[in-house]
Amino acid sequence: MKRAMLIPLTGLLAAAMAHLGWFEMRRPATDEGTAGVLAWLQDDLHLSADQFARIKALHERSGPQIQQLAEQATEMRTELESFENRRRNDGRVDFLAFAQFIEQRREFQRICTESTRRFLTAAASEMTPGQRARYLERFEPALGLNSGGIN
Amino acid sequence: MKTPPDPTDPTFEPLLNRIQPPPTAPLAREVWSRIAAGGSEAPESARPGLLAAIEAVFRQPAFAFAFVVACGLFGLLLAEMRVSRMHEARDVQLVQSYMRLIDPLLAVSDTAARIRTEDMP
Repeated sequence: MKRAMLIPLTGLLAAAMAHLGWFEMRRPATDEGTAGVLAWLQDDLHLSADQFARIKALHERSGPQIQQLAEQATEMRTELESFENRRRNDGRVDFLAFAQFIEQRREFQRICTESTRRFLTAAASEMTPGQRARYLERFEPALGLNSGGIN
Repeated sequence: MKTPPDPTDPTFEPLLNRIQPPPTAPLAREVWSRIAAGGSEAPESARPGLLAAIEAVFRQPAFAFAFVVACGLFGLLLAEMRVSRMHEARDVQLVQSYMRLIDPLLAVSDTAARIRTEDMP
């Protein structure tokens, strides 16, 4: 009886050890900061060290401009919220100011989309045709999804 | 298998007393103690057939070895499935993180959160 119990227990132990060992060995890293994202991109696209260095430099060069645009987008969102609050509280809408704001916003979104497209093209130009196809397949569709904008 | 009589059964004591000659006190005590012992300890041969069969199978070294190996492989399979699901979810997250790095319109929510935090007294 003891032996009959020992074998299933050994099996259970073997399953648990194999599971934990394999999981720890293959578990994905959890760093999602810029360095982690770029490391993932290098791994995903099989970028060489040279390609990776150039693409990383491109990110570093474009970072401040993208950040600046992001801050402008935040300001525009705040402005849109203030239009909405005024409409709710006072029941009044300054249609002229709102139309100007919408026009500005449309132009701003065009600039942002253009900035992203330029970045994607610049990064893709550092890649081999296979890498480029995969890169654009992954990230280009997102440009279309964002055309809805800052709301 | 014959089940031992229930000691709490009220019909059993009169039946025991009808034995000729009537049982002496030590004999009656012995009968009851044997009944009690019989209820708690089943002989080897009375074990359910399935359990005995399983025990017999596990006693074979080849089967025991194969069983342990199969358990190990099953553990590996489950771990690989778990890792694979984690990789898929992480890929989706990383694509979104990368898009936030390069698309100002997606970075808005992060920036807004940061500005709101900075505005707090």
